[in-house]
Amino acid sequence: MSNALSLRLTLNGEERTAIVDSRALLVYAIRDAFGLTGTHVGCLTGDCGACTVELDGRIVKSCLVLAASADGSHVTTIEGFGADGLDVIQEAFWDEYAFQCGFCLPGMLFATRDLLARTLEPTEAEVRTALDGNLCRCTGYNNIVAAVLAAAKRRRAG
Amino acid sequence: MIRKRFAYHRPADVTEVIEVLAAEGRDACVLAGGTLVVPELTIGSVQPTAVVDLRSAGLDTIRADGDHLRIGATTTYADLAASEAVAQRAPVLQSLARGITGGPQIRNQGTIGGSACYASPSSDVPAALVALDARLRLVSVRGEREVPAKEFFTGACATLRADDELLSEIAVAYGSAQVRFGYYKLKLCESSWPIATAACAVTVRADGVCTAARLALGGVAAIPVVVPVEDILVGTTIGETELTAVAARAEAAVVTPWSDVLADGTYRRGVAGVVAKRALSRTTLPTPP
Repeated sequence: MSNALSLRLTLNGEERTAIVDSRALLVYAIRDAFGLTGTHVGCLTGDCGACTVELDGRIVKSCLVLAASADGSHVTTIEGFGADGLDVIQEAFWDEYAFQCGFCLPGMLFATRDLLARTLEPTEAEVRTALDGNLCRCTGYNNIVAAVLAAAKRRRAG
Repeated sequence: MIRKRFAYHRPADVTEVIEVLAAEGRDACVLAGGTLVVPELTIGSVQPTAVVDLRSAGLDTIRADGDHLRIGATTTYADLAASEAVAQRAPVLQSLARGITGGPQIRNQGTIGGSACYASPSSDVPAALVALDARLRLVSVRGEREVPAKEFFTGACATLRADDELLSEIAVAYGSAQVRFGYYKLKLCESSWPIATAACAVTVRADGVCTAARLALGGVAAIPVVVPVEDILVGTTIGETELTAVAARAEAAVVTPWSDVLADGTYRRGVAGVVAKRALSRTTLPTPP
């Protein structure tokens, strides 16, 4: 049984192809086959959110996706998050001390961007709901919530 | 890396899916959103020889057809939450979808059909489908059949679906415009599976009198528990007396409670009444078309 698969992705806007095993998870294909290690492997059960990427316009946990399932898709990872330097959301996280070790950070940033695409005036409760698929072991979350609210405010200001 | 090799199939339509399932038989694993199955593949607790990925099978549409809402099996929770047709016809599925644990990512990935087929005792979907009196369409090369939700779930992680059958869609009959839906889920922390859920559909006349009612509990037993409430509610305007009677009836209906690491059976039976009562006291009318 041949398990090699030619995986074709539009990865951060660029057409990329790699040979992967059909048993590979998307998160491992991104890290090992394409060399983008900003997407983290946490729990492998879909709980922690550290592997969050955008797949065809929707945020997903890439440890729950077979790489083969993503063949032909558009994937955005944290490396493609800001077009040039830090995005306004990343700046808000920096300014509010919203991360310590940084392991959860890519997931938190994607969850924040997903929320702000829906509303630029989120309540604190909405922020906490938007982040409820992402675990952080360092911050206690309060600084993260503050950063999301600050990012929303900056976006509103243009 | 998933340890055991398998043949990966990504059929392009239902016909191809059922042909693959017929050929691969009971060692095939059907993959929908992946939120339940992929972690099992990763840890090796399921080791199929073939994985049949439904991603390209075109089963993700919701359509209003005659007097039924037909929900494709791979419709995600996010799709349910965003659907006008669901808002108008079965809003209880939107309450359910918005409350699914695991964040927006899981609501983008998890599917209603996947959850139904996985049939975990402590998941949201099975009891809601029973309360809605939904019918599940099973297709195979042998033919097709529609099974009522209350017969579909046969045990913990067990259903009537045969190994060569595909759950293609879930049909929900439109109620009258007077049907109110209620949903309540008890969980003890945000990232937890539900401890107990209750879903209900209650028909209330313009004068406030109840004419029909269905209520099902999830999480409290291996399969959804139908609580017989019609004799308590029909003919009344549903006040505190009726709610109290329903709570007692709900608790009594949990004959063999489900126990797991989240909560033992005694606790689950103990909260069944209040969960049923809360679902019933939070009923709302669907969004008018």
